[in-house]
Amino acid sequence: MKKKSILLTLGIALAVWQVTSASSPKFMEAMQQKIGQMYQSQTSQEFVDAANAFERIAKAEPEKWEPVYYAAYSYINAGMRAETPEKKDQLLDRALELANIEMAGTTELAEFAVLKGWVYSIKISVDPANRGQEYSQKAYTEIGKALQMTPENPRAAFMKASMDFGTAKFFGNDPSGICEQFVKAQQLAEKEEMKSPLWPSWASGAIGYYLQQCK
Amino acid sequence: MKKIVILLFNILAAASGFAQLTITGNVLDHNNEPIWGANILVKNSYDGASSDENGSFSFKTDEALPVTLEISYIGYRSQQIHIAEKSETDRLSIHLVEDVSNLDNLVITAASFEAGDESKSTHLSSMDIVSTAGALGDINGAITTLPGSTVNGESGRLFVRGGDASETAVFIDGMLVQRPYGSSAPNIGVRGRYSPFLFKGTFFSSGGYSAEYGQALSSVLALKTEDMPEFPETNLSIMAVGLEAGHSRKIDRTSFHAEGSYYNLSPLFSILPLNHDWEKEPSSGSFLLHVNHEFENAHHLGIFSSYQTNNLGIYQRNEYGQKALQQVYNQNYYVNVNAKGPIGKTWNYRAGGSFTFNEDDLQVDSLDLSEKENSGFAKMVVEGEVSESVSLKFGTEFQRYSWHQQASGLKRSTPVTIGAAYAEATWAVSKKFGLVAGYRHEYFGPSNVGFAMPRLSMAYQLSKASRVSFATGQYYQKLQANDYLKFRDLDFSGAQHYILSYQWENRDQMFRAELYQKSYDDLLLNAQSAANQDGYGFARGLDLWWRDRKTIKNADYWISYSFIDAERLERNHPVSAQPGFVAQHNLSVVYKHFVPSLRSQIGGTWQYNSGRPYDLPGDNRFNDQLTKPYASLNLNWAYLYRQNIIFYASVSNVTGRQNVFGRQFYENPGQGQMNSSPIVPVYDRFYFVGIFITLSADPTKNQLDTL
Repeated sequence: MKKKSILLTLGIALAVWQVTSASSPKFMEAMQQKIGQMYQSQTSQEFVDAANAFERIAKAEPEKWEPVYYAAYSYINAGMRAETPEKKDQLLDRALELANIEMAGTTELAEFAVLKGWVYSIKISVDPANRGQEYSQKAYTEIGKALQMTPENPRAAFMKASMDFGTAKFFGNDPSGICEQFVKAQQLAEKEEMKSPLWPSWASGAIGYYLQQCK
Repeated sequence: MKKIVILLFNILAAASGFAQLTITGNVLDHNNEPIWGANILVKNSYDGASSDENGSFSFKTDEALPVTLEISYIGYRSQQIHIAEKSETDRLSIHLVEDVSNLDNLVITAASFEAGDESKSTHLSSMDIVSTAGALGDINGAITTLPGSTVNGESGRLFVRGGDASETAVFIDGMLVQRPYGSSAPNIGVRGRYSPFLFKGTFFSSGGYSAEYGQALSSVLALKTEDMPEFPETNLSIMAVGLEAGHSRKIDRTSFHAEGSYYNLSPLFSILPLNHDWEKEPSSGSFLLHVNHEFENAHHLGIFSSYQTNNLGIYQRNEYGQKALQQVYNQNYYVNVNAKGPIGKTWNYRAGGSFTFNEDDLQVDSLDLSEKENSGFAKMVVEGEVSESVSLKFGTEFQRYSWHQQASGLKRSTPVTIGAAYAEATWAVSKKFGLVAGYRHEYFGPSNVGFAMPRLSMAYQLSKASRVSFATGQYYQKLQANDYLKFRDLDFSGAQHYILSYQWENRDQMFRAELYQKSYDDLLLNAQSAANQDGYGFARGLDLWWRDRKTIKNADYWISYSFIDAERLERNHPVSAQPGFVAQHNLSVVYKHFVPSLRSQIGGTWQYNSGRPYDLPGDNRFNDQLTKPYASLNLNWAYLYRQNIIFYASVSNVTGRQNVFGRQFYENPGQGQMNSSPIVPVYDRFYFVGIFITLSADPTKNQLDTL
């Protein structure tokens, strides 16, 4: 009888240990695998699949912000590539919903603000004549917040530069002045220290694309 | 001990390996169409999959039975499935339903236009309102391009579906605005007091509105104030008619916006050809302060206050046809306090009040006259969803209103108290059919009477894009102050609305056709000896509206047409006749074209009203004469010079057509015959130029919406 209860206690303890502390390597592994897969995605639907995978992890790990972040990031990419304006809006709205996460950490909040700013700037393209004014203001507000919280954030710096680039093009101004901002963003990206293996690091590729255009 | 642990590990590993499950199935919507991209997950694990093009999915999980699956898809309600047996893991068939409660889905569109991006049925954005050519930044000017309203240039106020200007009530953040217009001399049109860019949302209803609104026989214009910018911002407007400067900033959870303006028309009037002689060209000054505070627990407090003054002096013909000086000096204070927030999980409240202090000092033909109007308004509303298909709203309202007139020793005043209570239920009966039933009861202090106002509206969804709506209701409002001053034993005039509406819309196009019938009773009638409320009348007609942002690239246009057939027996009408403010045919065409290469928006508005009736004194018929039709072609051009600098120019009534609003008659002592002159606009053609500058921490902010 005694042995049985010891066994049972041990079993329960083991189970609890597996779910709590042992989930960390499992979590890291799952996240790294999904992030890798996500970066391979091409179509809107592939990004939706990636977002779904992150949402599944987020559901099981309600305390973690990373799956929420990458789900939002995937939805933005899915939204950008979606075919109909309705679908675009739907996916971007979901990204926004996720990015409106309540968090204590300023550095993490800044990352989410960058995503929000990005969502707004894509939403403009759905209906430029009607949304341009309001959404560009919202986009800049979010990026402004992000830069206020984390002045050295390469993703915030990049997002600001790409919005300025678009604006300059719209106004028929020479966008080459903005190229410096991309160079600066790249420098920030190079010297950025990853706060964790899952920390967002997507800016470099995008900066490269703009630097190409600047040449 | 070690042995036991290893053993346990082995057992666990074996068990989980043994228990690996394969789960397959497909996800469909309510039409049995496959859902692509639905998320299927095993609760408390990372396992799961997305459904493919055909709605199918298949995945493996290490979790042991029993497991709970959760299936979700954006815009659909999530579903959970409990699986206890291995036999249940194969070929699951999952049907998801759209996650719109019938209540959210219910939109009753009879007679209402909403602007602002919050509403589901956005027909006009705030931006559309301000960039309408000819409106010259006046909200009312833009609203006259919507169906149901008639242009009355000599008044400048809103005349909706055969109703006069007093029949439209204006609210800011739910609180009454007693004097939404400036003051002016007779037959000189006024402008709205508040600039459209103070507001992010505009709700305009031309009938059949909710029990929340009272003291309006024809129409409601509800304005919602703008959110404030996150970063400090300064606006500067330099215009041919004046200057405006504003500044906003946010400190923690409190945001402030202050602005001041000075307008003076004399420079422009000195070069424009005018139709009147001015002693003092219209000028005005204003100061406005708007404060918002967000509390941590989602409660919100807003204070909107303004001071405005305007004055003018004009020579107009008196009743004997002689030119006499009319001077107007107006001062207006308005304060609006409003609070809102949640009560528990399902209920919300809105509460607040507004105060208006208005004073007009008039000099009419060397007679001095002072008129003071004070109004206090308080309101409290509680609303909430009691189930997925029913929401309720309860409210009370109180108004204290007084009007004082003082002229050469004569002093008169009218204090009036009105109390109201109302309840309204919204019931989404099915996915396709819903209704709103409300009851409002008003109590009129001076004569101690109550008025019952039942209201009902409903909508039936014919297809995804089209619906029919019906609205009816009883509406009352007090007599106009100067009438009540003379006839104390009178109370409310009433109107009954019936509206049948058909609407079709997609993302970029909208068509609406509406039939309405409105019957008036208890209108003021001046009989020979005393006044009574035996007056009556009706207005009926057809409104058509078409808006299209799709067919022409970069262009947005709308066309509205209203046919109004109205008659009234009121005031000193000897018979029931078409009122002078009603035109039978009203047509507006608004066109806006964005030209990216020029960074410009170029727009035009054409408005046409058939002639309005006036009476020729001395014959035995009444109001049987018609003015010539009104028509005006207006053009505007907004040029984005920089992100934060806009140049704007507009011409109103480009063709210089000499419009006539009516005819004024004078006694001609000794000659037995009356002289007359037409009532004409201040100018036939009007030019406006301005520069709008925004200085902000936010570099893209511009003021396109101020145009």
